[in-house]
Amino acid sequence: MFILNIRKGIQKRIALYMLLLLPVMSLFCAVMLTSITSGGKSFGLSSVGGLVGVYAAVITMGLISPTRTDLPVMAETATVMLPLMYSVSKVGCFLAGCCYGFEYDGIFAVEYSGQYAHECPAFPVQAAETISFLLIFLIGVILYTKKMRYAVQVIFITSASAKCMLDFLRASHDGIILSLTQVFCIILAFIGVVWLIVKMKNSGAESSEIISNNL
Amino acid sequence: MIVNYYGICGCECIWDQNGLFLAAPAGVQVQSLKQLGFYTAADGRWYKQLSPQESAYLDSMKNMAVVDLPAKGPSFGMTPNITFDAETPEDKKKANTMCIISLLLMFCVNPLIVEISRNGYENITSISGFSGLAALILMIYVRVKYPKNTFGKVLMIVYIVFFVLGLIWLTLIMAMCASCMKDCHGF
Repeated sequence: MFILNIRKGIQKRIALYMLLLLPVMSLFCAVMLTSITSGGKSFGLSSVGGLVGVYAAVITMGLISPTRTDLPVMAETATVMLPLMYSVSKVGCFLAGCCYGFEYDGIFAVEYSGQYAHECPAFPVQAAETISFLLIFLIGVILYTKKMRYAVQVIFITSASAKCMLDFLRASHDGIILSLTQVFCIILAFIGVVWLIVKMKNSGAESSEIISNNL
Repeated sequence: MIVNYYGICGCECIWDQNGLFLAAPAGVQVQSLKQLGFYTAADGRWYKQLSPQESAYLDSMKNMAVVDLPAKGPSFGMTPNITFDAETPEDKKKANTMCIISLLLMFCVNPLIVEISRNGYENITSISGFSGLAALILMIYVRVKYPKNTFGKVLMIVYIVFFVLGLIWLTLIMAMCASCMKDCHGF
């Protein structure tokens, strides 16, 4: 993210302070969301809370930065990097055994011991999430560096949709239609679609202005 | 001596026991003066205390009637080179106040809230996180807005060291927990 920010013209010191603020804010919001949604009864790390923290850090640094154009640039680079952050965090879940999948004894089924030991083997949903989001990240970076016009919006919508879909494979999803995470993801995907439409309209207006100027 | 300071022509040079000051002539745009770090005094005039480098340069030019600062200066209204510019006393005061608030939030308010929450008020634990975060944001604000401030620089180093020590402590705790779990046969 630091390298992407520098390449996009953000001052080095602003990019460095962003690097300092982002993990702290992301961690704080990840813990806070779990605490709020459980009514203060439990503490844990929520991926949606982490996402909120990332954008809160982006907005904070955008407001502090003397250059007003830094905010949209940092928001774009953060969106490109989010799938990688999520992918890495799910490696931790996979190794720890939390956020496990539905009961499953087919190929790649995993069996846990210790705190998360259960009777049947489980579907490795955390590994599936790691691989899916790593792919989204790699494709996203390629699209972004090749300057595809709507790369950031596409990454955002794809990530929210993938997270929503993969949540169906979790054991915690048994007996409920939509989890709280899925509701958040649907809202985020909707925001992404609105962002894409707005960007398309703006690009259309800019193109027609350029054509009329050339004529 | 008359000094043309970053395009503001006809500044009066005043040698004082506190250092070297420039007094801007009347009629100069307030915005330009503010950009260059001038401040108003009780007599209504705009003054600026020069940095040691700038003072040393003017000292070496004492026999000249008119001096351009910098020697090959940019056009009128341009902001001065950051490496040549020193922070004004007003900026220093503001930055130091913010640094003290940040320090208090991090090392006084934060432990105080944790201590209160331990004594039966568990619901307020999350506020300690808010105060720590506010302290960090305040420090970053000072570093961005007043990069020359020494207190801000020291505070940044203190927080980074604090952050690294926290990470080491967390790693040690995790390693200790893992070791305890391995020793526990019932686990």
